[in-house]
Amino acid sequence: MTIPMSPQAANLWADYLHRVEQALSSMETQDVHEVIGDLESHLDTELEGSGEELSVTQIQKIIACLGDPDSIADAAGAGKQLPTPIPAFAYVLTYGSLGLFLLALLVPIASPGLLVASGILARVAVQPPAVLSTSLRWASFPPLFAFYLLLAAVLLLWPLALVLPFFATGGLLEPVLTGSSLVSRMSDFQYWLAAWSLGVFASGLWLGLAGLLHVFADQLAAKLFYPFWRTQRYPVRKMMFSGAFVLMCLSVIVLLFILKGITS
Amino acid sequence: MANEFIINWETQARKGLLELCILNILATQRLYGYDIVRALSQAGSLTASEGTVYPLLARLRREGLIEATLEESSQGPARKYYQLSPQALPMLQRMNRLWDVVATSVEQSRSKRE
Repeated sequence: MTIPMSPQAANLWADYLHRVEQALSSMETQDVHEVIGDLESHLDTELEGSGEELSVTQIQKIIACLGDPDSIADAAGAGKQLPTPIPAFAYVLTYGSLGLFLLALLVPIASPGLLVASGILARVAVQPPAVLSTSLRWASFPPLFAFYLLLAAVLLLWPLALVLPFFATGGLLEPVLTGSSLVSRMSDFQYWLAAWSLGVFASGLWLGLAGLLHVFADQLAAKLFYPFWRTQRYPVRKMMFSGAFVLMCLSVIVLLFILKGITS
Repeated sequence: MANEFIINWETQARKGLLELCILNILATQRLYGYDIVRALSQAGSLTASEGTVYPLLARLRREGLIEATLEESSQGPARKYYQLSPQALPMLQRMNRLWDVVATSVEQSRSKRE
């Protein structure tokens, strides 16, 4: 802001921008910042050449011309009229979906099926049938990632099967019981690979945490139920979570290969 | 209820028509946000308020219909200039054709009523 303002005028303007920001809160943060930036440069241009300090009356006049925050939100497609009332059946399906999701955590053997069912219920709850056909949205639904992870474990982590006897004989506890460290039994290459994959795992973890921060820094209430939120405006977050899962999955694969190498 | 309906209808109608006007204005010239707001104000009372133009510009830019470039200004802070994107021109022509049809249809329906 380059315009000199009286403290009262500055407060009034800041309050107006804050209310616009709140009215646009269902939009992506960068889009909100763009609109706020445009409004600020509107004010700058409006008062170009006037060297005098801006008074409260002048600011009130400009704000009146710009319009109330709700009308700006309406124009942006983030207005109050957009979220349509959620039908009662959607609540039933949503909680049913949540129930299945929790059940999947409690009953691991049935979790893939339960997670898919949970995902389907949630989609039906929040999307009209016409949108359901968008396969990409289905595929990017968070609970399904848990299923993908399990699928990846079955299809890609085949060494797990070879490692199982190692688990069976208490091999993982062996270093603890005998004092011999797994690291001491690694070749130089395995040691380097393990460090690398742990680094990748950590990157995935941080990406996931960054995704969570991105979620929680915005609208807490909406994001707590992110999978069930009506709008699908979070591609960045989806990408972050997907990236985190992929990185973590990759590193687990490498670590299991190393484990297999040590124990075979 | 009727009042709510008319407010909603007005909002939607204005929004759609404003987008068409913005694209038409930018089809012939390259302008920055404030100038677009002024041009629309001069064109009539289509804008409910000046602030509503900026979110529309942001959306049109996201949709790839217009392009924005920041340029230094000797009179103050950098200005964001907008221009129609090359791929928007056929779309704008189609929108204008549709508008002609809509305007004619509305006029015809009104003349029958009157």
